[in-house]
Amino acid sequence: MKPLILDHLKRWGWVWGLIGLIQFGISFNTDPHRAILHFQLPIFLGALLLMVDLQRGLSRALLTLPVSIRQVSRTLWWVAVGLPALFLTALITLAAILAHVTGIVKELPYEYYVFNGVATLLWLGSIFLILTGMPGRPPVGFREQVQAALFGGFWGLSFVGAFFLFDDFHFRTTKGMLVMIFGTAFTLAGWFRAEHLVRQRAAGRAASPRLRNVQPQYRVHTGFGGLPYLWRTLLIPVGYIGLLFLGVLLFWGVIALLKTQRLGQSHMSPLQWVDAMTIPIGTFSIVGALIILLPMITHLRFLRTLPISSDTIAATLVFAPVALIIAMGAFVAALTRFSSGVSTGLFIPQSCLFGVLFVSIGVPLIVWRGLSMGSYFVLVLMAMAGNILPVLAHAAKSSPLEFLCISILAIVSAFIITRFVLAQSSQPYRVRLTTVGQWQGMGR
Amino acid sequence: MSTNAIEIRGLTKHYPAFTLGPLDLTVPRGAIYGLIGPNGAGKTTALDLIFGMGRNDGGEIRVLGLDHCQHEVDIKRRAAYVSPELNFQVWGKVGRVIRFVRGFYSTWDDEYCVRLMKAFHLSDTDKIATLSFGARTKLSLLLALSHRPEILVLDEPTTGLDAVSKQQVFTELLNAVEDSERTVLISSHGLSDIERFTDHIGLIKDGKLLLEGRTDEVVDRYRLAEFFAENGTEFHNQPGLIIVRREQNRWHAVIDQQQGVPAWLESHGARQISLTPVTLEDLFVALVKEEEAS
Repeated sequence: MKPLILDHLKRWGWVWGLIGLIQFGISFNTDPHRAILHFQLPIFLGALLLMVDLQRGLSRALLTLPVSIRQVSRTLWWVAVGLPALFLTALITLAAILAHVTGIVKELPYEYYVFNGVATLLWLGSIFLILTGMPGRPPVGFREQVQAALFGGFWGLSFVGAFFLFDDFHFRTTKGMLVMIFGTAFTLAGWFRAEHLVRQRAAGRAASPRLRNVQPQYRVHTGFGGLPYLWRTLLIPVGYIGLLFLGVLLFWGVIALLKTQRLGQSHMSPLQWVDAMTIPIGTFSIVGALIILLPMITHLRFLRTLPISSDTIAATLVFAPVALIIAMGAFVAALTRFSSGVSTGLFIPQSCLFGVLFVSIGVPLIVWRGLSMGSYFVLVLMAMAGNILPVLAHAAKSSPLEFLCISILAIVSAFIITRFVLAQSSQPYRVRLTTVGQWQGMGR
Repeated sequence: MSTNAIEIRGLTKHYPAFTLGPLDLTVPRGAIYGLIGPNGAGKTTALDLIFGMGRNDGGEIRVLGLDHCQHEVDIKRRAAYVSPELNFQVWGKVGRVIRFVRGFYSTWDDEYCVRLMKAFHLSDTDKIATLSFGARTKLSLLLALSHRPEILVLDEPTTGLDAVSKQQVFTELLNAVEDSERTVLISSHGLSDIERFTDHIGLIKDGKLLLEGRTDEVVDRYRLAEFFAENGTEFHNQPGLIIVRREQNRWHAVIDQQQGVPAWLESHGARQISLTPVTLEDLFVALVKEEEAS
């Protein structure tokens, strides 16, 4: 087990170092009770790195070596759950002690550090359990499709789950007790399901359904095809977009509930309310953009062989996510206006701008580099920035014209660069593994 | 109207670790042209460039007399690309991807498509994600053939296919090219298939074209030579002579008959020279080894 763990640390040492630095910096200088900032980091160190390894066929490769399945499964659990929790908790504690010694922080809330360590462990342990339930190959049949959708949904929620799970969290409250009980149960279940994860990910693709005596059908589907069909099937995947809007609605509702519970809506001015309720658009814009972009990016080679010009492909890649972001902005604006009775003013364009900037940087980057590790981490950093920057932007006073100009400039630049990359570089057409592709049933 | 289906002149493409070209390639109309070469020779890069997957750094590509950049969409309406690397999974089922692709071509032939589905055992309800590697190649071929393209570009179409599937694929390809105006450019490592199936070949190595011509002429031009020589006599590669191996005083070589090598060998002490026809595979191995040695 030791060589396997050392191998993981050797391969991913730079990510551990980077996340460690960010964690240390945040912990040194932040109010320790702002747990949200801390809780976003473990997932990048634990579950996501494991996901990348699994997608690259790690478990299949390891099982050819003289190690037992149990050793491999224990290793995966430790590198995705145990070690990140220990590492980050140690860093938070060290940073807090240093901050206390240097006089930056007056008091050391010991209970918080214990809570942080336990909560990180349970959170990562629960996410590990979710990973064991996600199919390692595109789902076949209704049962597998439901399982994939369910665990895929849990996986998506796990990113934002910490927002409300650990908001105003204490061990002694009912909520705290419930989180502890369920977290412990899930973490233990994850430990015992680790072997299943290794076996499942090491297995090959599913057998063709036609081997199960299904009668073959030979007919050509008529009706509209071509670009309109591409837009319907790839760019407007109704299921995913519907789920996304449902997610926005749920998330918006949870934030609204928490804000009302904690502060009392009466204590918030309508403007503060609007400010708080429009911030999540940035994050959801990024998710929405990825839902549209990933299928296109992973099929660029095929699309390029069809009679579609590079201009059309570039325009679709850039403008489709932008349209979705605008639609999402309008949706949240309507919700917020309905709940507060005041206009959302500049807050919506400000929040949407981060989605647009993501598209402007993300699209040319992914087209150029594919979902390589480098572009993947740029996207992760942008997703993190998407959570934090709208808070700062809302505080700044800017004119609508500035936002409009920046957005238009960003979109036009993205289109020009994407078109250039599509026409000039061979990179977009070389098949590479996708990081999130398998979750969407597109991997392998 | 251009007499050539594909004309590549001085094509270059630079990568950090590889340079393609300058490459000149001529695929006559109605020809079945086999592009062969070792792994990493630049075959896929060259084929990709025809379809605009990357921009050439120099040179020009003309397809059916049209510039491949200016008339990108027009060319793709009349040409098709088959590769096992093409990914259709996002459409989920075979029927859906057929419907998608069908919408791009006014020349799409539904009847032919159904016939190919039966021949390749592809049901419209099959999940693409669960198709075997070979079945995915067949799907790619089905999508390419069903709109009856004037030019068919095939990149490693038989990779991963079993013997029966390979035969099915070649049968359909031969049926498709019965029309003498249809042109096929095929890259493959299956040299026996290339030799049997193509009427023109081009050998590419390290991004450069080593040899080009009619398959029968190229194969006929070279011979496998076996000869004996006195102990101590040494033969080295020289124009038209590629030493394949030596067993004491018995030598095996591939020779270019056009360069008068048999006479040269005799004048340098070779005895009992026997010449036998060369296969494309023998020739390929010899030429690639010679290129590596030089």
